[in-house]
Amino acid sequence: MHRVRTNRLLSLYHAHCDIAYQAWIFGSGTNGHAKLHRGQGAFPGRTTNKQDEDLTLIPEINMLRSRILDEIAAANTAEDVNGIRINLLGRKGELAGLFGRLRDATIEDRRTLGAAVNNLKTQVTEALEDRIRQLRERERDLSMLLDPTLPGVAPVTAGLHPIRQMIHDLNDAFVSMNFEVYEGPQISNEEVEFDHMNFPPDHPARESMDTYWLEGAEGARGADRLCLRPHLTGASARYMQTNEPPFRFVYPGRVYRNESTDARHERAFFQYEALILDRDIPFSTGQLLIQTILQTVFGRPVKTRMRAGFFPFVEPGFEIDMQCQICGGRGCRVCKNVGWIEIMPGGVPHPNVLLAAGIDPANWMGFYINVGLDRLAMMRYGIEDVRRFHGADLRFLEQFR
Amino acid sequence: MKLSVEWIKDYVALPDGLTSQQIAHDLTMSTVEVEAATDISAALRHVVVGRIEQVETLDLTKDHLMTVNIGTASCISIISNGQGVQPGLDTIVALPGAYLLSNGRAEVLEDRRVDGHKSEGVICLAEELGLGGLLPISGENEAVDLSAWQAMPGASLAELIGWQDIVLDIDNKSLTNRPDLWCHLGIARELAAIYGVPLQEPRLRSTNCASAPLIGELAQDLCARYDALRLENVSKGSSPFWMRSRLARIGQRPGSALRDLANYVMFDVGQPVQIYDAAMVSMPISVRRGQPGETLRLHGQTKSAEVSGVALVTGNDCPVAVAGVVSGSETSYETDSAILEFANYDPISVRRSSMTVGCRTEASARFEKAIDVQRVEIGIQRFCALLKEAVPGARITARDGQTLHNTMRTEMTIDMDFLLSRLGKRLEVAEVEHCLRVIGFDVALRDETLHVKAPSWRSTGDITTAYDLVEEVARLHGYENFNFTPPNVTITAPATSRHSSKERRMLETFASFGLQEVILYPWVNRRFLEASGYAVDECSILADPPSPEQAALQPSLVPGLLECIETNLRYRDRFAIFTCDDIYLPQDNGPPRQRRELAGAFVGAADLQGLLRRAKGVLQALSRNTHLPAFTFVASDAANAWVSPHASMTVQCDGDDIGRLAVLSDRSRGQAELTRAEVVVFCLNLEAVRPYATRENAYARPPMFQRAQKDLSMIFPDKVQWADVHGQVYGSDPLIRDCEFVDLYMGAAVPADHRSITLRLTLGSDHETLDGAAIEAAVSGVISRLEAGLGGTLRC
Repeated sequence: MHRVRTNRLLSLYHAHCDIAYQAWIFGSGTNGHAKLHRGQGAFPGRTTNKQDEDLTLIPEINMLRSRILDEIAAANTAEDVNGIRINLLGRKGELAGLFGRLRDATIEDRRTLGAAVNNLKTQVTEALEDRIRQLRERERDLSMLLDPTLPGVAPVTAGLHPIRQMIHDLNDAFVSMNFEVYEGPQISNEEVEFDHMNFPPDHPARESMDTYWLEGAEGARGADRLCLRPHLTGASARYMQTNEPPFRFVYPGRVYRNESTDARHERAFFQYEALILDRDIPFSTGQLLIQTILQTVFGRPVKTRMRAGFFPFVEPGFEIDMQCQICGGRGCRVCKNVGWIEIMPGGVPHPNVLLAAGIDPANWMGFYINVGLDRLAMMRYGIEDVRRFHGADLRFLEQFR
Repeated sequence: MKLSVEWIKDYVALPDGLTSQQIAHDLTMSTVEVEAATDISAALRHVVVGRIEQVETLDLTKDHLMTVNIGTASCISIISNGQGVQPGLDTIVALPGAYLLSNGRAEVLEDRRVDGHKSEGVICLAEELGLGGLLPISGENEAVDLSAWQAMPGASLAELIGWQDIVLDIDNKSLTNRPDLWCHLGIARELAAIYGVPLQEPRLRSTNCASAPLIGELAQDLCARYDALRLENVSKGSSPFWMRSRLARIGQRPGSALRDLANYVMFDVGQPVQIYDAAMVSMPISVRRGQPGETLRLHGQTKSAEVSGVALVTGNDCPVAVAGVVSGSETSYETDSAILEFANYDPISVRRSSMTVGCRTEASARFEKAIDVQRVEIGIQRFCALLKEAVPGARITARDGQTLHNTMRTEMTIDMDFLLSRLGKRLEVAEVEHCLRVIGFDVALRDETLHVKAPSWRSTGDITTAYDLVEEVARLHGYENFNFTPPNVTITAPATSRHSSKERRMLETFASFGLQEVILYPWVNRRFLEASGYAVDECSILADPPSPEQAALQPSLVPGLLECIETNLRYRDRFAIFTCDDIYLPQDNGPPRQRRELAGAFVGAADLQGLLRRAKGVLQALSRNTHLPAFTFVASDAANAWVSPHASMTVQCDGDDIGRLAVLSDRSRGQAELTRAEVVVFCLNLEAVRPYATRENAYARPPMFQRAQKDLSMIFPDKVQWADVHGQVYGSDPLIRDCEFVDLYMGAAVPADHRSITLRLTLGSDHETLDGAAIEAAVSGVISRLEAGLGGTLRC
């Protein structure tokens, strides 16, 4: 469209300088007028037939046309164009003046002159519209402003901790499946963390947790022996005690182990637990929880396997391995050449755990998983030292948005 | 725990063509985690039998140049400084490419030249191959003497000494619930079940020697069974090489014949065997708890250990061993007469004893997992079956035994529907029965119900209910053979958590406003705790903290923030951070109160006013973004030591105090060593803020007529606060629709003790568009009121 309009305007511009064309105008009747009006700038191939020397207004009209078209072409804003329109076509405009002067002409001349003035009006009106259209589509030349390599002006924002981001992403995924988000207290006790979790008294597994006990609890047992929670699973029982099945919930949180730290061991780290309990949940349903976690973190389905594993609070219990994301399962240094990486424990809540929560294990089945988020984040981003998560170093934290 | 596959094969004929990796995978998937399956012959590659043909001493270095036959067409030359290696000796030769241990590390042997002579290998000592104690040595020097094998020179050492074996390294953590698997027989039973091949029971032999009173009183809570054998004529020689070799392969250093046999029985069938020197132990043997003040010097220790309350084995009431853990030093086997103990101890008492005396042994590791009592008999009979070969000439001269109770085999019933619904897969009854029978369970089907009796070795706490059978069937059917089952769930309501969504919105808002989240330890460094005005004895304390300085659990998030600020001031001089965590407030009774708090800090090099206003702006916007009632701010006293006495505000929400926003006090700044930065801190009690139940938005119709805005800068005495200005302006004229703060200025053109405030008026009418005159009149009215009421003057 743009191209067509431009051509048309150009042709009009040439037209008013063209003698042959002028001659045609002078002698033209209504036919020629109609043709020009609809002619998309294509000139009718008419030649001069008659020139009337008495028509003194004709040169004036031609000069006016020439001037007005020049002015229109030079107008740079819509306001300018409008000013030209008012000066020419307004009630007291130049065209009205011309029409007024036609009254003095003979009837025959009046017809010719009237046609010429009308023609001028049409031509100018069209040129005004074209110019307005052209101005509307005109773009300023801003090329000197553009340096595509200049950095943008950054909005003042910061980020959440990378583990927090992971927790939020996982919560979103699980909430979309009607899982509730649960939180429990960080200071807990032996009863909740071990007794209810089916750890026999003096069982070595109690020691394997390397729990941080609170001062003042020496010699105390059960609920009076306070500790920082060594895992989240204990508080899962708190949830089960206070909620009626069926339920589905996730439980993100930080846990504490009293051990010496290095690049792979930290005293405070995050776990993410998910538990589903309903009437008919065979253990193979657990894949849903496992896949939801891994797919959320890695952004694609991850191949996993479940194998025998022992944890006092599940029966049967599983170690869940995922295919090594470094080598794709072919075997590499990271996965010690087995192609699989142990990623999380899981299993069916042990009947004693359900009983401790007042739930009849004969009527309810479920599945539970617990994944260490620090390790997942390390794998996801290639972080070499687990201690960075609690290092509070903004140079590290700011990289995660 | 290490296991020899060659040893396992005594009990199960594994399918042909099975690779070590496959065995490791199958055991890992169904039973226990195999950390490594190692072909140990690889460690002896390029190590062969060499016969010394000729030895000649080099003049210069006094080294020996040996000509050694390794079965190749020509002999090789080896330079050695070893003394007394005689021609004719068959010994170990390591050739280039062999691995030799040096200071605990394996190094690859290369060709070398000594004094112009090429040495094409080394005469290697047993220790250099990790074979210490296994191979006989020649005379006074330490070269190995392989003559007994009558091997051909060049024969592979690995082949010669049984080293063509796979050693499985099993993660002990995966075995804590399976006492039956702590021996070759146990793992063989699992492999037989996995591969569907029969289990070959161990060769046993009962003893028919005369009974003699060797045992006295046994404490019933410590010991379920105790059997003792008296053994005479115990030779000092070695056990047969195959036994020594097997023990060495699983990492046990071979010793005397009797000790090897005792160890062998334990690794073979899982029953620990304790040896006492008969000359050092007076009869009768009893088991009791240690008396207060009683001590015992343990084997391998120089000092006596306090054994009060610990389960002890005594000889005529004199302690001779910590029961099930370790013997006393005086009872170690010295003479040709020994007492052998086959006992079953209470797992908890063994565990406590082991922790009390600070000693863990192969025996205690097994006892504390709860071994079945019946295993004692298998242990004795296996010992007897091997005795003649292992310790030639030894005789059992007396036997005594007391069984206080046997392990009761667990009996249970399991409904097929129950089993199949939990498996999520239809298995035939026959397969279920088969799965259980091959691992020693008795199974009978009556009315769709399986009546199951677990073997004694699975009845010590491992298998207790029908739920345990679900796992047995599933793992032996193969976890890889179960497909995903989509859940069939009941949904009654949307999953909502107002608590966590409130917190999440707050965290996300802070991050979007330019504050970086940090996560800090819950224990705080004493220096920052005290800098914030808290004393350690006001806090909850960890009994065994990460460091003495980090014993207190945070009573506030401020100390941790100060530490974080100090960390980051090393790298930059302006930043904004926040953290969200529980704080711990000790109570007189019960556990500490735990409260969720959110705290943050704005840190900058200067412009304290700007930092304070930025912090306030963030908090004001926070309430709107998180659907909370608007926060209000009231000047307050310095309630905490970290709060500046002159610049502190209480944050209120819905009429409640919910937190504090303040400039960090100079005292805290100094103690925390943050003096080169200006710091504004806020903390909020998240439990005190209650979000609206749903979005709260107030709607007002947009104005019908155009509104006008007018900025006005006026100078006021500095005691005039913004609220005074706003109060004078807003509501004084119905045309004034709003009065916003724009800027505060103190500097050139503003007199001392004064400040210039720029405000923006919004003017409008509900009936018409205001003309210039009406606007001017309203603005003049505002100016007059501010002049008259607050002593303001228009700033030109």
